[in-house]
Amino acid sequence: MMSDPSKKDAELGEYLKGDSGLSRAYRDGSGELPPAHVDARILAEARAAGAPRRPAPGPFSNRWMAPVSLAVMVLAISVVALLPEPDPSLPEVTDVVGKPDAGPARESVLRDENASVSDDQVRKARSEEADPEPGRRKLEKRVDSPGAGEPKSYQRLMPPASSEGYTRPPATAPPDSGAAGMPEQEPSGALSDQEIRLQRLPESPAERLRSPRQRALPSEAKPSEGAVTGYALPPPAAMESESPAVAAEAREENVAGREPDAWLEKISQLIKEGRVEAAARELELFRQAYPRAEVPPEIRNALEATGR
Amino acid sequence: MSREDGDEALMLRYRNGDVRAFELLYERHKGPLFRYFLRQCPQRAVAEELFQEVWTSVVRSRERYRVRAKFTTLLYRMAHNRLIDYRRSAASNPGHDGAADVYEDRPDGSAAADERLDADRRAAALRRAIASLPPEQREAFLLREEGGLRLEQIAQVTGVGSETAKSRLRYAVTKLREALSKA
Repeated sequence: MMSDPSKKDAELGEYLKGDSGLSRAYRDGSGELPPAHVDARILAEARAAGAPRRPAPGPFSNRWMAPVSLAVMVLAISVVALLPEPDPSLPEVTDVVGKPDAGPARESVLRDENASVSDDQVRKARSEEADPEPGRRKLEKRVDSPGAGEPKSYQRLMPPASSEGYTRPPATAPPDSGAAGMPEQEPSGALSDQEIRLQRLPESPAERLRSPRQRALPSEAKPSEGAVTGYALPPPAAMESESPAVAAEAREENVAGREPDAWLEKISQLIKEGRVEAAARELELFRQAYPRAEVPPEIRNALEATGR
Repeated sequence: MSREDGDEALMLRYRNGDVRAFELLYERHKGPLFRYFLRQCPQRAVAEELFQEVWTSVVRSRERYRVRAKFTTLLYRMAHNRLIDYRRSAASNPGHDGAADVYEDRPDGSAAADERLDADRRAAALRRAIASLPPEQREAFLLREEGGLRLEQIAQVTGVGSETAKSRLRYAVTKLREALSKA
């Protein structure tokens, strides 16, 4: 018996030196190995995990190029489509029709697209496009630079009255910016009394869309997708080329949404009142806005008689 | 063994994608580690499962491997933790009784061993004596015999002080010597 601790320590020291009788006896009966299927499983896992890895792809590797490009493109299209503010980077449609001599060309485009629509209907439709919602539009004062650098007024397009099944663009504009999806038009001068009154008109866009006159327009008269869809027609071409005062006045008329007949009626009224100068200016604007419209002989004669 | 073929160097090579290094490492340690589990688990299947779990951990942790200690210390530390987890789960599941039935599932059971040569009888008697040791003493002895660990490493693997590890191993050696002398 080894009850002495020092003797046990000596025994342990001898054992720890290795190759003791106890160790030899243990090793003689210890030859068990893991089964082959366990070996195979572990080695297979080790090979699968330890296989040389390809270098990490760069941020613009071919693997991600296509999806990233697609995502960027979709994002860009969404941003442009939902952009509530006028964007000078989208000038094509307005630039073409906004030039003073582009009126006939634009008219011909409308004729081609709506071959079955009469001239009167085209004029009415265009009038609606140019100013689809005069009663709801809020106008901003820009007294700091009146008449200077008049911005091109790119507006969200309100669908014409005859566009059955047309879905309005989603409301992206802030709540205080008037109709949903419609950016505000920026006037160049102070608000007139007429404009202030128009802001308070209770007529909603839906109500205008449901008016009988607009429903009378054929469905083909709605704007073609791509060319003008999404943006309203610009103000009359004269606004881009005339003096600031004339442009402001013309815009006032445009804001009022005056139809050709009403416009001519106003010119006649001006002539009757003896305001020939104003009538002549109105007629000039009218002709630039509606170059193909027929001017009543009494107006034409009255102004020609005064040398206008 | 050259330094290039050391366990730590092989593990570093495997971390860098050299699968052959792992194969060498596995070949070197698979027997001792398997027996470490086999001597402490009630069934062979459990030993195989724990054995595989440890090597899976080695494979999955290869990228975090740093040479801070001997590879065998790391390997048996993992094995010890697996064994502790198993014992805890077995304790909550009655029916398992330590290493009591170690030899029942073994292909070379004690009945067959008794018919073999004297060396085999001694080996069988020694295994029974090992199985009858308290778990802590049994593990200390197996870490020394199978893992080749020193006292400090045994203490590190089992999470005890060096004196505790030394005491456990001393009791184990004494009991096994007595059992061997009676065989």
